[in-house]
Amino acid sequence: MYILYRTSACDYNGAMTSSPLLLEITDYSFRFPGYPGLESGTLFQSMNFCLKRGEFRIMLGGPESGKTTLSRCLTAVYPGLTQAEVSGRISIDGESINSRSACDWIEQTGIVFQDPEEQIISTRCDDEAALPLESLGIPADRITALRSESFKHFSIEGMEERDPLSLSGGEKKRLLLASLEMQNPDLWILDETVDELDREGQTYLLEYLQKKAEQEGKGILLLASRYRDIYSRCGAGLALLKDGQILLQEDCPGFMELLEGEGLVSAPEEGRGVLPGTTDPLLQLNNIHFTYPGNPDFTLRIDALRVNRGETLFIAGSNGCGKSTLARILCGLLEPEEGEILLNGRTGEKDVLNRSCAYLFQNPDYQLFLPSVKEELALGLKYSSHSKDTRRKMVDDAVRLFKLPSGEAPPALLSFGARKRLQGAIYYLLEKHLYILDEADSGLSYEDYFCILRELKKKGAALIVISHDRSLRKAETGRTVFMEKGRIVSEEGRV
Amino acid sequence: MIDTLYRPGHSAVHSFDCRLKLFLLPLLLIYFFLPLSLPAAGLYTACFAVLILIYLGFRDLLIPLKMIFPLLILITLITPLFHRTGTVLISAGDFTLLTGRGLDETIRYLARFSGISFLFFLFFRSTAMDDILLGLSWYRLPYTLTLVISIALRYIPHLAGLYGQIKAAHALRCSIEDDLPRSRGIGKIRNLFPVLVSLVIQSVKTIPVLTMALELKGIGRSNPRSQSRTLITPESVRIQIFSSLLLIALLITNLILFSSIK
Amino acid sequence: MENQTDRSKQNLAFRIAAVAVLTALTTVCTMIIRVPVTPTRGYINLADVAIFFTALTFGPFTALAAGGLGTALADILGGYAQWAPITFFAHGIQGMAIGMIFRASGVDSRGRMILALILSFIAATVIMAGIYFVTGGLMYGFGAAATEIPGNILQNAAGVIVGFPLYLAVKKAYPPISAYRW
Repeated sequence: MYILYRTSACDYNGAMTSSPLLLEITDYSFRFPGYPGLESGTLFQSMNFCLKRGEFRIMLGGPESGKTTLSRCLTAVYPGLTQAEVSGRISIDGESINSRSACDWIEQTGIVFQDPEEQIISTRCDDEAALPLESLGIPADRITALRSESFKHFSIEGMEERDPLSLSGGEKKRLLLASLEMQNPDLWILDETVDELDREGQTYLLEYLQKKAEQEGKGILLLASRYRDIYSRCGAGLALLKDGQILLQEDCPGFMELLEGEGLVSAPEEGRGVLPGTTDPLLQLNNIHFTYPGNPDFTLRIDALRVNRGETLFIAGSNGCGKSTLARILCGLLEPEEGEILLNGRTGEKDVLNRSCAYLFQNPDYQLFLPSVKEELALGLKYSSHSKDTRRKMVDDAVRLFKLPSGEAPPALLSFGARKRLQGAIYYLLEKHLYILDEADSGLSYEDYFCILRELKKKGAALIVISHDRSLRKAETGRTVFMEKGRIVSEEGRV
Repeated sequence: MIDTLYRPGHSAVHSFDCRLKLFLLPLLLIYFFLPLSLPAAGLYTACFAVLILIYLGFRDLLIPLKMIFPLLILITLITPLFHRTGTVLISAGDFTLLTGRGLDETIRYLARFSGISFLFFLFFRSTAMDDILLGLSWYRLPYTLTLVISIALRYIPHLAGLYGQIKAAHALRCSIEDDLPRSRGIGKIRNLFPVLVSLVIQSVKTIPVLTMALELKGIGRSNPRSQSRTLITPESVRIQIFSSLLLIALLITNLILFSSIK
Repeated sequence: MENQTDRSKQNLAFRIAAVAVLTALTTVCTMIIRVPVTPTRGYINLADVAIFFTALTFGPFTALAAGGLGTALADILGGYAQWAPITFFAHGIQGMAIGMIFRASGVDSRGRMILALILSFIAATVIMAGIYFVTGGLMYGFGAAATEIPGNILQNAAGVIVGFPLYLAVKKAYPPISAYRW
């Protein structure tokens, strides 16, 4: 029966193997509903793709290319509650995905979410991993046996009784991988699962997946937002998700150039008109000491840190090293137990720091609550001394500069990149001495990132960027401070 | 931020089987409302205080008392005024402040309320939330209900943290030169409102995502579920069942002998 | 598009998700968000605000489950466990009543809306304060229980005064929410 499908969607390389088709996407379109002030967006347009049993493919796509949506369509949870318009066909083993509810597909397809916290629903690791199997009615002793094996594979044994949310980012992903292995579906979908694993873990995972596909005849689709060298070595085929279509590596002669063009390989080396910083100190931290009440394991100790007016300072370090805590102290959101913070040479009170510093939280939604972009932008100007006309003009300018879709759109429904730009625009309109961008690299395209950075820099204020991404640091000049276990360990670069 | 009452331990109340505790809890609770003579009621309350003292220690006895003491004072002040019959014990001029019956009732209410507080404290101090849920599902509580409670427990710390973040984010939405109005009373609610809206939007936005997570864990399938983790039955369960039965028998005898209804 | 599978399985997952998240939200509103009203130690918690919002947005059954469970959990976690069973009924039925009144009135005209608001305030107050009064009376005397009535009325007033604008604001800022009602 699949021969018929092959001619319709999968006539890409002629070399037909005998392994049967597992997943097939035919002429699939997906369109999110529109709301007042926000046009409905077509995400996929007549998309075709297929995956054979035993095939391992890595699909690359920039932020907002629809990777996550695709992964959700493939597990039958979308369209679901989205009220999206859908046409075309997705089938697994020849059966249309619409014919069953998502919960009845879990033996055939399984997924690891991009954000593990969205997938975790239990307060114990063993419960979390056991849930799908319990739903399938598998006897308890079998579940226990499978679990101890899978936990060993992903080296999380001994964590059975821990709260999954207390694990590190990488450990959470490993827990979900172990859970997926226990569920052992035919089609594995991994949404950006390679991120947040260390180098060793990445290599192990790719080898593991390749073996899983070959030996057990699974179909494995790994979605990724950035090309890594290890991808070309693991034996998986590559694909690119772009403009609602899927392009396969074997179909496109200049595939790597195409990836490069999409900015998926490395950050564009933009020699932007970098505004040089000054050596005039804005903020000085002396002998800062901070501990969280009830958490004796972590102490932040900063002997001396100086932020100069107009400079760009990068803070780098692994998860939990105290980057965000330091940022919060700078903004006056946390008060250190000891030490002093000098702002313009004077002691910075909590209130003064609050007004002088902006903190762009990793999640832009914390600050958004109004029904339209314009209202959201105008709110910050409420207590300013500008006239009404000036304010309106400022808001319009901000909408244009930050490339926001429209002033009337509801902020909560914008795409992640647009919400992040809106967050930047809100702070752009506020007069601040210092802007702090937290985890600026997560889920944000380089283009959006530079858009925010460029506009904020024009204000002449100091900028602190907290980021994991080395290439971001290369593209901008500035000092980098490395942190480890609550201490500043080294510093590089010059003002 | 969220701290439950439960403290792990190895005392006899801790190792008492959770299902037995769940069975005894409502019985012991009802007993407070049965017509017992005053000394018997007082003794019954004292038993719980002694249990806490023996198994959990003196500090743990103070915790529930600290929680309820304003109400205890209130009961002492107000109850006598509603009982004006019987021998007058204290009066201010013509106004009767305390009668024999009033005193009787006051002590009874004090004993009842503090006893109930001790009982619940003892239960939740010595039983993990997890075990309570497993125990309830042993009593055939529908799976959806235990699932809802356990997911809620997973999201409470998350939302509490979110609230803190949102509050911080909103606090920074002002410029250096802005003149912010100081707020008190009603103004505080007005300042809280945007934070609340953000929090509610964030919470509501997690619903569709959680729905997906649940579907992908197979919630909604029509086949029967299995359960990978069950309560561990303690070794001394026979003794525990026996002592529970003994306790019930004792309480019933006590009720027959010392009933206040003549 | 091929024929839709029956949505009932997804609806079950959705209802579990909605009730669980709103339960957690109610607990957080009860335990953590406290507004001081008097300089001494008078706090109102926002439990009733959360319940009012839930009832308006998600309808009576979610309000019954989330309102009751959320406040009961707050009692258990906060050390007032002896109240938990009573709280479950007091706040659960309160939420259900609000939801039913709004469902019956329909939210089309301004006049009916105000009427529904007043009615639901009265019903909510009578139910919640009533249940607490009766059970409190049994536990520690009706005299002492009566002193809590004004506080409970205040709580409900805050529920309406904050909860209704909250509902409007959230609906405007996040339009898809209107589809979540059941």
